[in-house]
Amino acid sequence: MTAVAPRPPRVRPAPPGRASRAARRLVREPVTLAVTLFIAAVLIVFVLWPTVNVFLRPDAEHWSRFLGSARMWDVARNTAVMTLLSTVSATALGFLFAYALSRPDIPGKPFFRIMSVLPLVSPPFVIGLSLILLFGRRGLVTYELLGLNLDVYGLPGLWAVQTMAYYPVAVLVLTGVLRRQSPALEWAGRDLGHGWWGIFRTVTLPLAVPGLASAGLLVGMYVLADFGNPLLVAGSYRVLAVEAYHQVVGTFDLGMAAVLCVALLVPTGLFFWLQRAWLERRSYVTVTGKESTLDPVPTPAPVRGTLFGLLCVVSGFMLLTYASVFAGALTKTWGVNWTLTLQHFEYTLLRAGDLTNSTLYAVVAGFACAVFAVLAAFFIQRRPLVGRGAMDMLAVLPGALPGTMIGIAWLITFHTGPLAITGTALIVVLMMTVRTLPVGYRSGVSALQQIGPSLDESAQDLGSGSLRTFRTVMLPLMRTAFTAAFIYAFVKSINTLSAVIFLVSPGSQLASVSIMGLAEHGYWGEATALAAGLMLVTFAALALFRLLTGGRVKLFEL
Amino acid sequence: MTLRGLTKRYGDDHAVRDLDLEVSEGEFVCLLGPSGCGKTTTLRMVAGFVEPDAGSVVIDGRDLSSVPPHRRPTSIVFQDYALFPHMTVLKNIGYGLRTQRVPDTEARRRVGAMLELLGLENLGDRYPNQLSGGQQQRVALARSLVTEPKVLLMDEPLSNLDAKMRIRLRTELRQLQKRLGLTTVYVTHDQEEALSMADRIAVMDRGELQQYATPHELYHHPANRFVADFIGLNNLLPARCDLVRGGEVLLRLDDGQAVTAAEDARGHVPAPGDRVLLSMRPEDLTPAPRDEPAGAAGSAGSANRISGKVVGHQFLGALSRYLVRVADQDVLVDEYDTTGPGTAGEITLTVPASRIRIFPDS
Repeated sequence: MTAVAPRPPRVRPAPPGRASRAARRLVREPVTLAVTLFIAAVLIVFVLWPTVNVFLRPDAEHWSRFLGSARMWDVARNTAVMTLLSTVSATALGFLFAYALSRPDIPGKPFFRIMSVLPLVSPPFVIGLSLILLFGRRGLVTYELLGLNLDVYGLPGLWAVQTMAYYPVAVLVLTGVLRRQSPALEWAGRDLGHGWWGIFRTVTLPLAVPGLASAGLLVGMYVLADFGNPLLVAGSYRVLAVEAYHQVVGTFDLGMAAVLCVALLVPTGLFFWLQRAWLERRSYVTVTGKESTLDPVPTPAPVRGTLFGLLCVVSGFMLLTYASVFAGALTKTWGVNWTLTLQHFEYTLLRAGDLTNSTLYAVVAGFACAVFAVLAAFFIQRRPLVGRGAMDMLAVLPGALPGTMIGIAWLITFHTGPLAITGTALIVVLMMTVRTLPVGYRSGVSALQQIGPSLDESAQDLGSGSLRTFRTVMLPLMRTAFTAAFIYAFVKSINTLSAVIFLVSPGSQLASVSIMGLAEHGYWGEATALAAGLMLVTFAALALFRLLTGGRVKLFEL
Repeated sequence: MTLRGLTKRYGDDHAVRDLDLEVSEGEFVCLLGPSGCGKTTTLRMVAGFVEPDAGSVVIDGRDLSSVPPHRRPTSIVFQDYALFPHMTVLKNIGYGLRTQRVPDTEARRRVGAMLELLGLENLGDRYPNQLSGGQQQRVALARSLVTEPKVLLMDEPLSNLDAKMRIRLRTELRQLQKRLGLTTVYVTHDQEEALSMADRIAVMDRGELQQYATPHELYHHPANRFVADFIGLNNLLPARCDLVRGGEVLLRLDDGQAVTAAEDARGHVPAPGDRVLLSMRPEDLTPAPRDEPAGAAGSAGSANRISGKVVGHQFLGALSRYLVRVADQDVLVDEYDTTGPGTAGEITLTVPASRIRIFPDS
């Protein structure tokens, strides 16, 4: 016999389930529903759909061709070797650089800091460009000054370029890590009888290990996904990103290109995921909340000298790099005719529309990114109707996708079909917007975290609907995040190459893409003049940002 | 305003369970309870920030269940004020009027009147971070009042202020509320605040309404053990019921002492043999040395005499507080005449039968 539980004495309508409650809210707040749908639609169409397409595009034949080809295995191995070497060297260099910057007794730090940030805000491929100018077959240093006939194309050149191009990423991460280390710990080490080396080995370095791992993963992600430098200096040493590009422009074999994209995405995605997981755990917390009043342990003179020397050499090399680009822009024919001229600048700035296009598109994309990022942050974080986790993930996903992959994914998705928009300026701007969205979105989210929920509720309470609350309260309070997202998106968009190279058309040519073409054909003057133009516009934008925010907010640590 | 069967669950926990509450027009009602008792959740359900799992909020005969917060005739003053940091005082106060599309001249007049009402005339152009806590509080209040809400909601609005300011604003707030005849629901965990301000207090614990009554009723006739314990200081002594006879309850403490309580029409009437708790306020117990007959109480026949031993003594200025051991329990006793030397050792406590409440001991 089964016992029948007595009915609860109170008879009330059963509480509606979660789903129907969500549905009721949707109907109640149509504006919220509309905006949320819009955000979801953008994320699905421009992030999810192309990404899925990359996986769906190749058939078994493509895969078997890829797996059975010795050449492809070579390319994969090349990529792994290049990534491993460059990541280790860039992270190590970045650590030493950051360590030197964290010492109080090293002079000239503001200057060195700027030098370490420059590569982050200029087109990454200028390093490759200047390597050829300085050390190439007709290089200023190797050929003109030393009379050597050196071939930098290949792995050694690429390794050097990647190290110089991406050590700043490690510096950025590790400066923060080292700054958070309490000097008290080093003093404790000294107090217990260690010298500088002992402290470095037993305290500073072990504490920095999680940071080092995090920095290494980030650097690895960038190196792996980089496209411009390998295209310029790798020569016959093919890596995945470049191979995928050639599959598209050479044979228009989108299936094979998609296979290569997947091969590229797997390690990149893994690095991205590991790095985020790492950040979330961030095991060694050495911040105690108490402000330390201790000065860091003084650095012994020989160590100080060595570190200072290192900073000088690296920064000197960076200066040389940028100087060579500007010099190239002012030289008639690099390696042949060293006469000074303004003709390249005149050509690139006045006659060719590339730089204008780049600037214009980057402004539009920057604005679109900032608006969408801040809007998405607000509606995903503060008005979560349904699928908050999924939308959040889609908003940061582009940050984990190599540019080459997104470019090819968009080509596959938007070349034909319901949304055939390749060949337009729109797709270029959209690409720039989506690629910079993750950083903008995160800056929006962290700005929101500073704004207590009661402000939001207060505005609603006083009669504001979602959009009005956003416009009158949230947006003004998120202004700094908005500006930061705008400038970041602008700087990244104007310099971007790997994704847009698949999408530009004669009417929407970009400077970064043109530089590649010009450099490939040896038009060094025009190429460098364009690169110089890009850098000048970028620096001007950053200066403007500093002016607008009064230096309160740091972007790229500037 | 009427709350009917209001229920909110978070997972398996009831934040608020089946809450019924009626607030008359112009009434000042406090929701009082320890933290986590559901008072703030209740307030947020009224404001519309939290969707109830069941039940309804009715204001002026209109069910607000499907009305989003920005269309409800309620206005809330937050604990942290939630002033918009990027707007001046004037803009903050005028915010609700702009959303209501009140014409500019009319809005200016109403904001001006509000500034005057709250003594903020000279602060209109300041930003919130240039104001003191008390001023911010007033601006937050002005911002809510100017929209002329049917029900004003306040979520511990005074808890971020220092003690003196709190007491001053308490009085001001109450006077203002009376003058404007504003229906107000006020959440607090500070019972003194609730007792001093409210027309009626709703005491809540673990999501359920424990008692809804005037401060006076609440203090002198607590409905249950929780309320007795929570409001004011109280001594709860376990005892057994011997006999109920002619309006009197005869009880026995655990050490055998006999106590007589008057039968309370509003209270719990035990049956002989029941375990009960006696509740006695410290100020109702009068201490006297054991061998002396207790002065005033000696003549009244209905007064109980309970033996105990002083184990602690605090001099608090206006009163002396004793800790007395009675039947293996600690009992607080307040003596208001502090001019004498005080008592010590074995003493006798006198308490009128009518000042003892009885609750079931569960």
